[in-house]
Amino acid sequence: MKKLVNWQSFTAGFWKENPILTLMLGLCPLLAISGSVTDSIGMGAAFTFVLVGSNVIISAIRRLVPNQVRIPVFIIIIAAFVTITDYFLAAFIPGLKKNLGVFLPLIVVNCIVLGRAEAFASRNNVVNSLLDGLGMGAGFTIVIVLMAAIREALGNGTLGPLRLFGPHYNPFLIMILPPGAFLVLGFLIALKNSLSERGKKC
Amino acid sequence: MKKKELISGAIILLVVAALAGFLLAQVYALTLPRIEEQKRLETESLYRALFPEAAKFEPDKIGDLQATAVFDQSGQKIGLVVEKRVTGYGGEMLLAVGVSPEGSISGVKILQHNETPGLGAKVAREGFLKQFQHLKYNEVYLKNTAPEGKIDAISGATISSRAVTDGVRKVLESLRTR
Repeated sequence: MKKLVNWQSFTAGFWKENPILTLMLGLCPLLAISGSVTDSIGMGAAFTFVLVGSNVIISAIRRLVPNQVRIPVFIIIIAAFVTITDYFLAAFIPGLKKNLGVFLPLIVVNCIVLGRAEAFASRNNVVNSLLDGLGMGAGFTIVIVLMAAIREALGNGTLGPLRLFGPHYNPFLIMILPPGAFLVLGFLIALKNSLSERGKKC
Repeated sequence: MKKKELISGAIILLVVAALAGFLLAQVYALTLPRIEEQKRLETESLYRALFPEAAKFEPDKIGDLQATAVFDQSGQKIGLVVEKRVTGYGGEMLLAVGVSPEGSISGVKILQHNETPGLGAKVAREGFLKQFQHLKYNEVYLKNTAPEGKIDAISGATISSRAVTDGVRKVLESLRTR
C-alpha cells in the first residue's frame, strides 16, 4: 500500500471504484450535462483538471494542515481551481462555458472532488494522488460521455456534429429530457453490476 | 497546547486563503482582456446577424429598454437593436429585436431562454424567428389570436410562441410611442 507509485490508484477509478457507477457520487452534473456529447467532453475535461490539481496540492500540503481546518482548506483549494477553469473557459471557449452554465462553478461542491481529497489525497503521496485524480477523472469522463452518446443518439439523432439516422429520424425525445438521464444511468449501473457479478462467479 | 493548535490552524487557513486569492487575482488579470473581447465579439456577431452591413454600434435607450443604435460603414443609421425580457414557459427569456428606421422588423434573436428542449426551445430556431422579418407591428400576433396575425405558433409550444410574439410586439409599440 505504501509504495511510491501504486498503479492501482490510477486504475481503480475506471471500474472497481468508478466514481459514478460504483461510488455513485457527482450525479448532479452527470444528469444535467449528459444531454450533449460535446458538452460532456468539456465537462469531463474541466472536472479532471480540477480533480488532478486539487489532489496534487492537497497531497503536497497534507502534513502542514491541522485536522481542525482541513475541510475549509480543501474547499479553498478546490474553489481556486474551479475559478481558474471558469476564467479560462470564459476567455477561450465561451460557448462551452455557456452550455455548462451553473454546473461549472458547482464542481466546487462536487462530492467526488471533496471525497477524493478527504479519502485519498490527504493520506497518500503526490504521485499516487495525481494518478488517483487522473483515474477518477477519466472514470467520470468515460461514463458521462457514454451516457451523452446514448442520450444524444436516441433523443436527437446526432452525435456531436454527426447526423446519425438521416433527416427523417423521429427523435426519441424523452432521452434528452431529464427522465432520459435517469433511465440511461439506471441501465448503465445495472449493466455494470451484472458484469461485476459474472466476474465473481467465474 | 489546545490554544497553540487553534492559532496554528487559523494561521494555516489564512495563508492558504491569501495564496489562493493572490493566484486568482493574477489569473483574473491575465484573462480579463480576453473575456471582455469575447463578450464584445459575441454581441457584435449577434447584431451583425440582424444587420449584415453593421459597422458601428452605439448604446441607446427606449423607455426602460436596453437598445443599441446600428450604423453602416458610411455612418448612416440603419436600425436599432432592442433587448426585451419576457416570461416564457420555463422562465425568463431575453429577446433581441432588430428594427429598421421605417419601424419594421429586420430580425429577431433569442439571447437566453430556458424552454423545454425539443418543444419550446424551437422558438429560438431560425424557422420560427424568420417569420417576424419585415412585419409591421399590427401583424405581430399569432395567427389564431388576431385576424392580421402572421405568426405560426410551434405546435405543442403555444406559451413559448406567444411569449416571444408578444414581446416583439411590445418592443415595436414602445418604439411607436417614443
